[in-house]
Amino acid sequence: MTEMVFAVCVGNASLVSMELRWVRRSKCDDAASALPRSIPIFISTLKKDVNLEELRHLYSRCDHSCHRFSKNGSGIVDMKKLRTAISRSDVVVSVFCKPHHAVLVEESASVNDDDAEEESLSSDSRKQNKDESSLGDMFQDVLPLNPTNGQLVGFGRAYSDYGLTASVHDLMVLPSLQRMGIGKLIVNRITRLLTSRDIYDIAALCFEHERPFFKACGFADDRMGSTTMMFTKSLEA
Amino acid sequence: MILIPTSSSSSCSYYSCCCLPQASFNSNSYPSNQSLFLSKSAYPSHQGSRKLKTLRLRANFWESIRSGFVKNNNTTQLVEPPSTTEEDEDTEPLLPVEFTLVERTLQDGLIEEIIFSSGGEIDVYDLQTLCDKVGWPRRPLTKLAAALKNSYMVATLHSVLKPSSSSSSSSEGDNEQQQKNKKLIGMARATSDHAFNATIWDVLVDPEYQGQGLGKALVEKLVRALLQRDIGNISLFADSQVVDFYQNLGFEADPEGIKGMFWYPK
Repeated sequence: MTEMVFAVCVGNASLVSMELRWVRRSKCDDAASALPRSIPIFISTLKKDVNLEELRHLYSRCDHSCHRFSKNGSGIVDMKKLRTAISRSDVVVSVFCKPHHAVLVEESASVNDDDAEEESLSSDSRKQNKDESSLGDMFQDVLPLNPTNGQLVGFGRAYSDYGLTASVHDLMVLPSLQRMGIGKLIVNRITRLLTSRDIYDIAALCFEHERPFFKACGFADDRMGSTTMMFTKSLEA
Repeated sequence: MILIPTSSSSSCSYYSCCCLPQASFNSNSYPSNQSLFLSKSAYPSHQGSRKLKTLRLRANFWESIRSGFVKNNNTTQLVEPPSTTEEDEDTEPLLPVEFTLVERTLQDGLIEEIIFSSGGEIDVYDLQTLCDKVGWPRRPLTKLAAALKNSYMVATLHSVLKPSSSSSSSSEGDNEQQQKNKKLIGMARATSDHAFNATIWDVLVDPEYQGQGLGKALVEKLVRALLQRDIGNISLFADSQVVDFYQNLGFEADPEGIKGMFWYPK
């Protein structure tokens, strides 16, 4: 996957807190032929760019729960807790893209099961993607992307003790914008920020299906051979 | 020219500046390298949390002013999302807790008290000695200090030796004496995002005091405190020889296929 970087650097030269990039889908990805090949995205590591409402939507759309176990509670994320969690996370990475890009993929994603319908829809959206897009879309394309006019499509956060260890959580990308390298971008940003603070012990709890992704991002099983354990006993009264 | 007296309002505004949500000052993005002695304000819990909060806010206010002038190497601005007034209620500072876990009389007539404490003072040098005793690799002291300071919860066990003649109620008079006889024998700490997840790191008990249920008490108290704050995902990474220990405390290995992975730069 190649990227063209249009870096809009804000802040310290070595650590950029906001950046505009392009992500591209690899050519062999046939299933996503209806979706845009490459889209601009905006990455921000600033907490003020996190809109909690949008974030909550993202959780549901990505089918991601804050609770690891279903028995602890599922469904809509508790706002108060989410706010606390974000404010107490040391690293927060949000990825935005232009609304019409996200909307397009939403439409085509919703008719996943029916192939025939997808064909007809894909031809429509393909028409929109090509150069002869509508004027509205062209205007949208020209406007610079920023967190206020963009839609939240990817997120990741980490909390640490500012000394030795850190823990990565809630990594998610809108399902239909996956496989474009956005997740990896988020993880790289998180690790970069943590290592810049001299924290190298970075852990990530992941489900079985998430393991290949984290592996591709540079994570691996603990070399010291430790066993991951979680508290599962229900609280007695 | 009309001069409007502003003395009263200006003094008010100074203090009102301090009353911003605690979380924004508590960023702790600069591990203080100046002192290796960590003393969280050790106010006894009965004095109430408000006084503790105000004093901490005031101290943090100056801290943030000072750190603002120091070389700024942190670009991720910790700017609060709007309406954070509820923050104070959610993330109230964990009040220091201290109580005696075990008291017993030793062979030579001395009384030994094992005191559990959370949110209290920890001497990093003592901790490093303890880590050496259990055979852990050495870690930089400044990092250790920063990690302790910024952990959500740190629970410690101290052993205090008292001569058998003094009664247990005269603890204030003997405080100085006790300080000298106080020995760090166990510790456990947890990091958290204060809402959903917590990870327990660095659980250790002095080998001479192992096998007495002290480690179990440490972890149990830690877990209970976390659960009380509705933090549901408590995880830890156990070495192979202690997996059974944690299983007995209610932890499950790789539950629902969840595994921890670590980042290894190439």
